Amino acid sequence: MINSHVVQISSYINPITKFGKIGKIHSIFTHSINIQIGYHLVNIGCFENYLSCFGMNIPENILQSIIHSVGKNEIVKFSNDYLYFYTKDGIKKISLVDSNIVDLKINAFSQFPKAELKKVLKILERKKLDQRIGLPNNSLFKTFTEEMTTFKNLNIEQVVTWLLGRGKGLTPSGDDILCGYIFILLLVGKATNYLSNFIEQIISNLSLTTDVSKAYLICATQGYVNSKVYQLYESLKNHDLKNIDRELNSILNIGHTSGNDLSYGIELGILASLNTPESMKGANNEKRRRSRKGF
Amino acid sequence: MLKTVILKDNYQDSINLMLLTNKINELADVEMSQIMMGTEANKDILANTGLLTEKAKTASPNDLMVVVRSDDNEVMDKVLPTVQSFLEDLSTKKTESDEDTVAVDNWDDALKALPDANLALFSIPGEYGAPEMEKALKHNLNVFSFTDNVSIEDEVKLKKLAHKKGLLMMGPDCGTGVISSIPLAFTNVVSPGNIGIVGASGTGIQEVTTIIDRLGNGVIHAIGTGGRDLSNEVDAITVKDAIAALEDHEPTDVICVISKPPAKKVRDEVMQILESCDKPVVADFLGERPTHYEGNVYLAHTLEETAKIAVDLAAGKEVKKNYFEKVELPANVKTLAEDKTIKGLYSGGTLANEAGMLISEALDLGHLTKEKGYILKTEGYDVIDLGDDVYTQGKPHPMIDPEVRINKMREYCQDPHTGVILLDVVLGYGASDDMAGALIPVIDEEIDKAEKAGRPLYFVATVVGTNKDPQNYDETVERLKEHGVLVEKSNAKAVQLALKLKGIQISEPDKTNIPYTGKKIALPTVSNEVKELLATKPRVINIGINSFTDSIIKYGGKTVQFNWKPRANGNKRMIKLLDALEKYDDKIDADNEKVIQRFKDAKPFLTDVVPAKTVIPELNTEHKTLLHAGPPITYTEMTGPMQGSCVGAAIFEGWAKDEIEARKLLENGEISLMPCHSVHAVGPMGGITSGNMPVVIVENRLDNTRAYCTLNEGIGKVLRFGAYSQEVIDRLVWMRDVLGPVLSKALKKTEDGLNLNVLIARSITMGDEFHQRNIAASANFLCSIAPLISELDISEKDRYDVIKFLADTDQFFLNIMMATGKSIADAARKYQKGTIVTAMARNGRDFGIRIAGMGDQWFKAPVNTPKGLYFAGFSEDDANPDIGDSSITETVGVGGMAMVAAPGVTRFVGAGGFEDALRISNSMEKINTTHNPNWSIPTWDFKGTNLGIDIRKVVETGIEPIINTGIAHKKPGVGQIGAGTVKAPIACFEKALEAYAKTLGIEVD
Repeated sequence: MINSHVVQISSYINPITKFGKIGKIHSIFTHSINIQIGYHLVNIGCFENYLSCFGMNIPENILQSIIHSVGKNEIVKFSNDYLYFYTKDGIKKISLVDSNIVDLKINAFSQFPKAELKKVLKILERKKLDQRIGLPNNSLFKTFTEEMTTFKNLNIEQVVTWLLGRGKGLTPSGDDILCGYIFILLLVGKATNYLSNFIEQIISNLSLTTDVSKAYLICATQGYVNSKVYQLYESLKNHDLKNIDRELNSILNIGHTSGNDLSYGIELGILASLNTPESMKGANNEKRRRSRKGF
Repeated sequence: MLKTVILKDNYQDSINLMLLTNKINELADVEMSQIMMGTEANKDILANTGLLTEKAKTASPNDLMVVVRSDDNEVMDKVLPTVQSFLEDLSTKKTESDEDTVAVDNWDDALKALPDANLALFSIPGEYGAPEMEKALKHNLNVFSFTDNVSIEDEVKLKKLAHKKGLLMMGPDCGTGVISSIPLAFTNVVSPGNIGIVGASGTGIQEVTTIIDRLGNGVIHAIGTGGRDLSNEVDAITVKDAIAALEDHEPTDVICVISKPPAKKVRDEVMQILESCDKPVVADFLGERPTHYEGNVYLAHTLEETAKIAVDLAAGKEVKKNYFEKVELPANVKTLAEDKTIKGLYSGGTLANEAGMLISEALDLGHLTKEKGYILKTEGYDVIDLGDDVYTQGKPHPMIDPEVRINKMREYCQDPHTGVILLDVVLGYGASDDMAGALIPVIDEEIDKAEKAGRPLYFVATVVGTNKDPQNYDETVERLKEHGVLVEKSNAKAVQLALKLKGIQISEPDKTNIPYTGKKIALPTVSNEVKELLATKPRVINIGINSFTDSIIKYGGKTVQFNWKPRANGNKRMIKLLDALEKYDDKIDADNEKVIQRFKDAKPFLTDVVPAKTVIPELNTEHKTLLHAGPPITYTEMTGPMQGSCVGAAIFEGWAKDEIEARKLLENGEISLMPCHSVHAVGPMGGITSGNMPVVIVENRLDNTRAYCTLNEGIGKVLRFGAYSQEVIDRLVWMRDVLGPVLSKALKKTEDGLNLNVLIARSITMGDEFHQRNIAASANFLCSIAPLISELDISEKDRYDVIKFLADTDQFFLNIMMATGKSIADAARKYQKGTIVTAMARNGRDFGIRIAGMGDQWFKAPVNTPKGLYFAGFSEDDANPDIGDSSITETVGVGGMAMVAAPGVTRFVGAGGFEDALRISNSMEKINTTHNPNWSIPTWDFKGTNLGIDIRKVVETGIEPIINTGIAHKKPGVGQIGAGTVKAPIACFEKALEAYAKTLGIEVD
């Protein structure tokens, strides 16, 4: 059995038994595994400078020992103090006692940080992300992103269903773009009716994408982000942009194209928030969203 | 047509080439092939099989000849790449299980091979089970006994011992188990999870674990206890210990207990223990119909309910009042008429019991039947447990062999009252690879017949398995459904559907929780051994069925295969003899020591080569006499090759001018026959020796015992294999007139002859074992004799011919070794006491042995036919039964006894490698008394060769001496067709033991 201190746990999955007691190994990667519990995923990684919005980080040697032993669909038991992996090599046990709960929940700013967002936008635009993302920069893509930022001729369902699950990999580019986009719109607290509809379309069409992407999108719609995006959120909140280049680069470096896609979503979100016409602002519907079945 | 390719200067070992030839012969378009070095002898072999092409004739001895007979003009395009890839990698290929499993045949070696073993898995016959299990427990091993037919007295004794020692005794008759997620014996592959099971029922465990798996949870341990554990006699010793162990095992959150109907007193005791657990418990005492959950214990009615409650508890969910799920009839299925009944044909006993119980309850049929094989036999409703002894005596279990069930299905389907055939299909390790596939044709046939007869007939089945099982659950279900079988997800549901087809809807009442008001007690203490067993992957000594190691290896356990054999192969008469002889052990051991010392003290010297008649008076009489190999035999009893040799010898001696004349003399008894062994001689293969044949003289200077053997003729068409053509006679004449005299003259130039101990010791370090392989010894002999020959005053032609012949004849030393062996054995057996083997010889009909204590008496049994590699065009069907005195080499500890010295030789019996050679020598060590320090084997850590085959050890272990041998064609004149190994029949040793015991006044009925 392995007994160790868990380094960090995202506030989204705290308490760890909130989704149930028995989960299954969903997916296994070189540096992380996902556990499915009910409809939810819990990511267990060993990253030094990154914590998934639905994840926890544990020491690398312990994670590797688990990765070496576990197989897909094997059972994981959650208790308040331990995780038990029932693997083909025996039972591996991780202590959750003394773990750090890391808050990754963002809240809408009371004031629109226009200057800071413009600065971020400027940096992102210089990076020409539309040429670095995992989707082809074709006319359809241009049309949809134009709609997302200008709201002209906008058909939310069409945009969302086009982006959901579009691109390769476990987190297709379209989903990362959506996550970044939602992050900004939630953060600025503008266009709430629009955002509410947008999120509703995402939730209704989650079957279009992968399980892992689904987990990110569900977190995103509830205002949970990964630790790198959360750092950006903190900087914006504190009007402290002295490390903004480093922070944005850190987001850009996530995954193969995920960081670029996410950043491009942020770019689109900033553009949208700067362009939001007065008519689109409305009451905050977050309460309604959170009470929706399944969340 | 014949195709030939010569690969120039490409020397390859002959054994590899024989293996390669076999491989090429397997190619689709190859009719026959032969791949050999281009020596003259090999060309003779090609000629014998019609494969000697003009091109092959041009090959030099260093060229590789590839000759293929095929209708395909382009056949070499397929053959040559195969030849090339074979020759590029000649290493012995090991299978995964070869590397993962070590095989042993005794407890000491098993414990040495797996020093951290913590579990012994038994599947040996019940009559031998108890003492072996006792040994396992005494070695501090937990026991899992698949073995059945152990008396209840023995079961109680073993379980008490296990409990006292803090070990778990699972079984006897424990068919199923999972320890730390490793499936043991007949078991399904289920996910590990936080549920632990204790089960006094095999298929009960299988049904519950597989449903749990399919519901998405898993089982970490399923501890089988054997069906009698909850009897009054056994008093649930294992069930109680296992419950305590699971309560103690932290990753287990829920405990399930499954039992066939228990004894009342024992049930109450077990319930008290269960109520005393802190963990929630689900209990299914089959046959009971619980109305409530009590305290900590959730009592279930069916196996399915047991699994479902366990899964909810394991997930921390509240237990429901009712787990019953109604099944629906498929849309186009109608209920059956009043006169139709249900017939349950089960391979699993517990499933049959459950079906019987549910049908009986639904129809209010009263108690289940006690009639053998039947669980229910009332009002036309039959449920049969086809695993009952009634059906399995002398036959495999119906989970393995579908025959009994198929016959019953056919029988019942003929009955117009049969409306439903209820079946279980059990998957998993140990079960049939494809039970569904075996049943489906019969199901199709019977449904078709019923349809044609205009009567309804339904097959309802439950499949016990998971998708991780080798047979795959989903695929099995799908296949059965495709053939019209109504498959349900549990046995209980299958029975419910069957009843529904009869228009009967069963249900389960809600259960309420009532508090436990009894006294709670302290659970039995859990020993460190049991804690360790449940906390780690088991390390298993598998005693019995080899395939039980498969699942252990596959799922991460460690195992050693113990190829257990009963003492003396279970021969009760021999066991009595061995027991009776035990009190004479000291005396026999002392006698044997004296004989063996004479073996060790032997000083064999090659002193001369002379015409046989000059040293064997029996060949120097007016009466025509021939010597032959093996125990005494008449001409008519001889097999073809030996008869052919007699013919050849008669022609050689000038007694007959041709075969017809020779045969007439032999058939008329005008030529006397006697064993070589009777006159201090030995002869290879046919062993036929006549007066004018030159023989080597080997003198054992321990006491000047002399022994004789003819000279080796090389390979191909030779007299010893029964050939008698002119070239054979011509060679014999040359050997008489030139080779013999030249060698004699050369040896006379030495002072004392050639010291053979030295020559043998040197050659064994160079890879010879002196029976199948004598290359080094023949070369060393040539090194010793060539300088002497060079000094002789003889013609240059003779000098060249002799040296060339010796250089070409790899096996020349074999005959010298045989005479050496004979001189050593004959000197040793002058001390006529004890049980050491002093001769082993074969005449093609009998294998005979002599032992020191019985003098010249032969103990014979029918000889075996060798197993080995055959030259192209020949197979075991062509082989003559084993023949020759060359097994004198094994008698003195070389040949098959020293396989490890020449591992290449093992390839004659398959693709054996060094490990096989080592295994053989190690195995032979078990029937020998000691080692011969004169002949040390480098590849055996310089251990001396085996020495002193003791008939007591052979009989005790059942290990038969292995003889390396050439293989003769059964027809005279064809000659050698292969080489291989053969076992000395155990019956010789048993007869010798019986006769020897008689000399001590021991006789058994």
